[in-house]
Amino acid sequence: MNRTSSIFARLALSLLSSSLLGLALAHELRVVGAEGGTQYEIVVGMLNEPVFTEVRTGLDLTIRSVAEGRPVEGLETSLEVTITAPGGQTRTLQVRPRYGAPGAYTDDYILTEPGTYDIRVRGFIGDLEVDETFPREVADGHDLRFP
Amino acid sequence: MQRRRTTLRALAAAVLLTAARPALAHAEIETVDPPRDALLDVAPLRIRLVFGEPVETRFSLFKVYPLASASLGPADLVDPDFLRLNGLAAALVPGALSARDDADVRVDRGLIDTADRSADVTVALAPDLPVGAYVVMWRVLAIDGHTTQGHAVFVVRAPAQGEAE
Repeated sequence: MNRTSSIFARLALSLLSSSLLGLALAHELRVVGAEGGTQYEIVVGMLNEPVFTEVRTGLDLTIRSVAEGRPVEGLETSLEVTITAPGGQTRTLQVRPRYGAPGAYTDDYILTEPGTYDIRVRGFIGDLEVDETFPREVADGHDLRFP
Repeated sequence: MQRRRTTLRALAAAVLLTAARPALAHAEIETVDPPRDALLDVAPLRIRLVFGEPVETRFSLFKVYPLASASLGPADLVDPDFLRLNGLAAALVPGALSARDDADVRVDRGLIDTADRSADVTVALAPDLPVGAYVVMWRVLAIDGHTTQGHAVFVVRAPAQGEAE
């Protein structure tokens, strides 16, 4: 492989890594509610993504109305959010509003196992019933440890 | 000189910690009585709200509204789905907290036994609230200058068949 090919190969690898990292960093947005009716955007992720094990992170949930782009507040008592670990254990989160961020909700946790975690958001936004599950990837924090 | 520096650093840390404390706490609700999602046989005469730190009651807002919705039926008052009632309440609260001239809707009758600054707030209710779902809502100014808001739902239930009289 000559020097030019090597540079191109490295560039391609770098671009691929960036796009994969981009996916890992992105929160997931879903629109719920029937078209023509009241629709809401539910955005789910975790704090400080990409998330590694043994590091304090937490739920990062935001809800907005589609029509007005208005954050929807007060849903901490109408939504039940659970997180299910790769091993199948499920925990119900104590969702609370994030101060100074209308329409945003959180709860804290430290994840101990790498793999795919399912965050399930179930309940009501106004009169609209929702039940959505968002898979989130968590990487092994062991590789980051030093010394 | 070294000792003075250490003392100054300790003082600076203490000031920062003290200054940071209120910003971390705000006036989050700690207790609601009757509790959130209570299903009551008898209508309460008052609501007690306890916050994590004192609030300026004169600059705070406390209201209680009936939760009226065309989609609520009698069954919702016997075996309520509180997630749903709270969803309806969340839709009601922003408008209700901003509303003026809503005395004909409100079922609260002002604060009782509450100081100007207090973490413990009692709201009087109209006597003999009829069967129904109700939303207690607040927007409070904490003594740290931050505002928070929230709500809680309770239901005065209809007697089940064969239970009344």
